Amino acid sequence: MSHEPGATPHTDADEATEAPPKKRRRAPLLVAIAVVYLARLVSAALASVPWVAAVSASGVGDFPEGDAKLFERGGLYLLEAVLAQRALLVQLIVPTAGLLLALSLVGVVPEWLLLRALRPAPRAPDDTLVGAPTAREPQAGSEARRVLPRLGALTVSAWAARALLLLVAAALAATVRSYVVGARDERLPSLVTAAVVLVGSLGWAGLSVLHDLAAIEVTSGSASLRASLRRALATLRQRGLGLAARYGLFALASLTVLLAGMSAVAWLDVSRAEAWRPLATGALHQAVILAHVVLHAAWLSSAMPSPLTAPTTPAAHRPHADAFL
Amino acid sequence: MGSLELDRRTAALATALVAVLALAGCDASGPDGSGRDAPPRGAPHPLSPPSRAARLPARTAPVASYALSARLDEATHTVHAEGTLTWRNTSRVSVSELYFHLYLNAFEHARTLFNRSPFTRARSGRRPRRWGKVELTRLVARELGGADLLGSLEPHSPGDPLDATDRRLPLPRPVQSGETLTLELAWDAVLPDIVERTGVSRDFHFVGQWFPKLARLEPDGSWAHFPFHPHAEFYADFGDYDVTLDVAEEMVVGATGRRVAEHVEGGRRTLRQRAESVHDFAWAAWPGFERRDERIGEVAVHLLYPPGHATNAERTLAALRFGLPFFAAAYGEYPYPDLTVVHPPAFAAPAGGMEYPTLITTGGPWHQPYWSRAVELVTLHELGHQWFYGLLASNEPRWPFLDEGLNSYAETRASEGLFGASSASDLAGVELSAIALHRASMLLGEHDAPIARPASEFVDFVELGALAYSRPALLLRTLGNVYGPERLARALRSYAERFRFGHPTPDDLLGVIEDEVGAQAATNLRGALFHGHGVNYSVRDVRSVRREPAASGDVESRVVIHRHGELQFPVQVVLITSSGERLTRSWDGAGRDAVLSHVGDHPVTAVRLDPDDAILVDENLLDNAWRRAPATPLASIERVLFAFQLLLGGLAP
Repeated sequence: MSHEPGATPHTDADEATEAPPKKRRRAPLLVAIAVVYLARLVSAALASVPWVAAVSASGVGDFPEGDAKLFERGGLYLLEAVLAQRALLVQLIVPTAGLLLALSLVGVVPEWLLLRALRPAPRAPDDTLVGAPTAREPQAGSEARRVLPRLGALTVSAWAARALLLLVAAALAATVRSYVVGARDERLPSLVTAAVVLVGSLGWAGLSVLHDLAAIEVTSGSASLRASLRRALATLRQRGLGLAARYGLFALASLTVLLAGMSAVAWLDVSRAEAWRPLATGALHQAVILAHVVLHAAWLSSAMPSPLTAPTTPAAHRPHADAFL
Repeated sequence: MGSLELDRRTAALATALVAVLALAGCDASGPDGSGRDAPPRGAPHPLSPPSRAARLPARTAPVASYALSARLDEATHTVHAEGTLTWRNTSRVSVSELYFHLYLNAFEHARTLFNRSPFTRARSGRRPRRWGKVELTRLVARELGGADLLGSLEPHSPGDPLDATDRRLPLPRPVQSGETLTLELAWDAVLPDIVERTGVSRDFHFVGQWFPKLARLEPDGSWAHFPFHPHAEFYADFGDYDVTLDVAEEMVVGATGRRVAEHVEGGRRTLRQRAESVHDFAWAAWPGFERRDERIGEVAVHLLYPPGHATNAERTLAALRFGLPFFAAAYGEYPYPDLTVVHPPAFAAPAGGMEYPTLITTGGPWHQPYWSRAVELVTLHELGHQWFYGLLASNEPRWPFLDEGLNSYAETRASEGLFGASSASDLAGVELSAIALHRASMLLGEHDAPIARPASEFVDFVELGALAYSRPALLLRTLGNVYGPERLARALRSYAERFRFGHPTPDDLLGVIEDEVGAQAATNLRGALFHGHGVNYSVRDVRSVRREPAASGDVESRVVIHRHGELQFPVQVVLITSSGERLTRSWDGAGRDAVLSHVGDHPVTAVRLDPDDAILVDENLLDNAWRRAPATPLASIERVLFAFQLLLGGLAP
């Protein structure tokens, strides 16, 4: 095994005293995934409280079947409860939406931890690929102070960009439809809308990819938000097709997991009053959420830059594609 | 791991994902029986009595018959028409006047009764951009010496100079009871913009309420005349219609009755329709229609639909294949040889969802999702009107519930026969039934007001929907659930047979209910219809004490059930003890409270009133249970939690 002149050779003894690289990297990754999952669980629980209270206040808990009544075929009691509580439910909509947005912003913290766990350890400027000593990881506290506001700003920017995309798509659809609305075949205006939705979806996906690439840059370097966005755009230009394919694959996997979960839950039939059914349903649903978190992490990992293209700065990356897979 | 290995794994994963999604997409249910809940196809009404050997009458003696010829001027959207009206005085008295409905005059200007209030406008919610009217140009009575009566026609509705939809015609001499009068008519019907059922939109014409329609003379000699109110529909005598239509050659026409002749000449298409024993005639003309003809039993069905609606057409026909025999088994054979179904194009949607004798209009977008039953529900509803309105020609403006309420009941029965519990929709395992939707409609509107009121007395369409459609449907379901579904089925069958080709009133319905279901049922129904009576059962109090001295069976429980409201239905009560024992008691509903006692080793820890949800007009179903310790809503908690977790995942860029 060759090495640069002057570099300290890496001996078998050194290897024996180090923890295996994969396990050392996997532990913080698993912790980060757990933090992301738990953060989403806690946030959802917070948002759920008033809605669950509304359900309880409907009186459905007084039935021998409990709230299984709400899931009976035909929806008689589901509609009954919704109508009974409609004034309250309507009042909850706006505050809940605000809460969800705020919780999403707070969600940049676990997201940062995940990105931090996924990124390879930084290497020194004269580092070789194998056997070289690693540079020291930046202090978490100082990094958090630098990175979290940028991630928050990035999140808000992504929302704004999506809202703009929706507005543009709606305007475009309305404009193009106005030219074909007189067509005798009613499918034509709908096809126009479908085409706009398809293009808009690609744009939406592109924004998501851009956001994730920028988040990776923000987390991995000392670059400003603007510089991170520039680098992300450059990465997108360089690796656009590959990234699109990977993003599409992970999105498809997420959708499949969701559909499979919904099918399994339908089979469980919580309209039947046994207590194990909602517990099993809950376990299935949480498995779906956890799978989504894992898939998201896998996507982020695959979007990390490769060793051939990584810059050699004090915070340079030594890519380890097997850090996650 | 190299990139090649990652690519192989990626390809395998992608292939597997596509396969899973494809399989998941196969589980779509629909009325063609492809889904897991495929209902029995074409099954007769499950509650119908055995079929009778004698067929019901297929026609009736005509009272007001029309022989008309009409030419559609496609450029001016005007129908130039003429013909004869042959009318027989079937009342017990002589009459010296006639009344005509000139319904299209409702669209003559903004101040007609139909248009003047911004709160009771047409269902489309807007006024026409193009006005319409009926302008009579000839009105001669042959038997009255050929006198020209046009000058005698009063210019406006009685007492309302701004409305001209209800017009009185004094006669030069009385028309005796049993006498026939032949009137020669000529008129121009200027079609308005379609805002409510009839008119023109682009090159689509729906021609309804287009001819001077004689009001119905009741047996006592009173005329059932009324100005055209936006909430109201129609009422007329049965007769035979022979109508010749002249339209542009490219027009595809659907009309009441059977086509007996058709030819094309000089760029015009002339077709002749005949309909016997009907009380209205409507037609649609549009060059864009596609057409499917199918025979369902003895009925020739003609379906006209816009391009791109092939899937809707198949779903409509599937609903008809089920609905025609279903309604026939329940309410008597459909007596006409033809049924025309018109699905208007989207730009003429207000013409949809309506019934005419032997012609119905449906509607909806071309992309009806597989989980929505909207196409089937509107088809079944309008088909049901062929009985409740078409054959049982009640006074719709006076008693809108008598056709809409009974038909809504019939529609829920039919849709359940077709789809089971998911008779309204089935999306991702969430099934909604038509009954649940009717109950929601009832709860959202007034439900403590009389039902049997004129359409004009309802405040708005929400109240009309709640009280004339949904509440009667739920009342009938309640009567069936409580007193026996077979008895109710017999009652409605008897009502449909007895008043076939007639003009039933609420008292006629109540009489049949009393005969077949019982006096208490009739009393309840009368109270709800005429006095706005309602009911709410609830668990008022539950207590348990240990008896002294302690012995076996030493716990006494007392359960108090309360009835609020004037309706009185027998109700089942289930007492559940702490040991899980379930004891069923009954209460006939007499008095305001029922005190139920139980002595045993264990106290009553839960009570369930009306466990089968038989009383669908109960004002509040959620107070029909009591539990010592309310259950934690586990299923709801985890569903809400999951929903918000998904939302948060979606919000994260």
